[in-house]
Amino acid sequence: MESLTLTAMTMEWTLQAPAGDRDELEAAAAHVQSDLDWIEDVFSTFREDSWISRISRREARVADAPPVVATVLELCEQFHARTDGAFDARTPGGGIDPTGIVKTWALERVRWRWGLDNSLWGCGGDAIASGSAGAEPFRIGIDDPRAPRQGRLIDAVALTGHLNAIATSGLAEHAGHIWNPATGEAADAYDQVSVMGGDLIAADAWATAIVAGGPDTAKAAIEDGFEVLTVKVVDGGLAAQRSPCWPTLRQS
Amino acid sequence: MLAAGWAAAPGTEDATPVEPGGEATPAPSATPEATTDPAAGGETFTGVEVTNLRGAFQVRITVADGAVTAVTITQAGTEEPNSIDINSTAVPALEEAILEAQTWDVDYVSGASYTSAGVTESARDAFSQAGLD
Repeated sequence: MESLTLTAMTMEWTLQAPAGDRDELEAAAAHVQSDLDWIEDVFSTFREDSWISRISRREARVADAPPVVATVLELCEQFHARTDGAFDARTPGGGIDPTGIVKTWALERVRWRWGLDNSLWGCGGDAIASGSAGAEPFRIGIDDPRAPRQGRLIDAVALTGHLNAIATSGLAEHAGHIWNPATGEAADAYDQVSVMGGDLIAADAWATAIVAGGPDTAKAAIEDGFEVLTVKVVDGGLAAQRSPCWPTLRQS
Repeated sequence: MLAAGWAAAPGTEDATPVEPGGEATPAPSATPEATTDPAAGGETFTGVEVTNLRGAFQVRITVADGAVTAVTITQAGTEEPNSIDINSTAVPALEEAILEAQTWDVDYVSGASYTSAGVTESARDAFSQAGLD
C-alpha cells in the first residue's frame, strides 16, 4: 500500500493506494498540492487578501471572484435548505463562512488527479474511498471523543459500495456554542456524529447539521439516504445510537 | 435488517419507512418493479438488491390506500428471511449502539477536532485573549 501525505490549509491530506506507482503518485501529488494551495488562497479566512476575506469586508463581490466561490456558497445555501436549517454557515454578522464545507469540497474536487481505481483519500477525519484495499474494503476507525486523535477507537466501518464516504463532526471543533435551530438552545444532544453515504460533501453537511439539530436531524439524514452514528459522552461513558444499516465491523 | 432495503442504491425510488407513531407516508407513484397484488390488497414494491459485507439484502413491501401493510424480507444476508406485519412493529430510525472496547486494524480514523475551523477559532481566541485582535 502506497501512502502519501500532503499539508495544506493547516491540515494533513492523506492518500492510500493499494496498487499505486510511487513515481506517478508523487507527480500527481505536485498538482494536488498546487490545487489545494490555490483553494486556500481563495477561501482562507486567515488570509486578509483571500477572496473570502475581501468579500466579507465588502471589498469584493462574489460575481468578481473565481466561480468556485459562488459554487461553494451556493452549496452552503442548498445544505441549509436540505437540512431544514440545521446546517448553518451563516456568521453573526450576516455573512457566510463556508469554511466547514471547503475541506470536503476540496477533497472531492482534487480527487480525480490521483487517477486511481482503488484509493482512500482523506483529510481531517473525513474520507472517501474508491474500490478496495486489495482483498478487503478500506476500514475506517471511529475516533473516541473522550480521547480524540489518540488512536482510541469506538467503532470501525468498511467504506464500500454506496457507503464509500464518511464525515465526522463534533462539538469540540466549534468555538463557543452551537445553537439548535429548532429550540434556540445550546446544542448538546451529541458530542460526535459520523455520517456515511455516497456523497462526501453531503455527509459532511449532515454531520455538522446533526450536531446542531439533534435526533430530528439525524432521522432526516437517514431519510435522505445516509447512515449515522451519534455519540454522547455521559459520565465518562458513551451513549451511542446508529441507523439500522450503519455498516459496523463490530462482531456482535 | 428490516431497513436494509431502504438503504438501496441512490436513484432508486423506495417507499419511506413507517414513522414510529404508526402513520405511514405514501409510497412514490413510480417504482421500477411495482406490481398489483390483489391477494395482499394493494401494490407490492420490491427494492433493489443491496449487497454489502454481510450478504445480499432485499425487501418487498405491500402498500394499500397509501399505507404500508406488509413487509417481506426476501433476502436477509446470511440469515433466514422473515416477514413482518408492520402494523405491530415500529421501525426505529435510530437504534441504541453498544460500544464496548474492541480493537480494529484500520486504514484511517474518522473523528472531529481535526478541522481548520477549530484551529481558526482557537487562534482567534488566543489573539483575542492577548489583546491583539
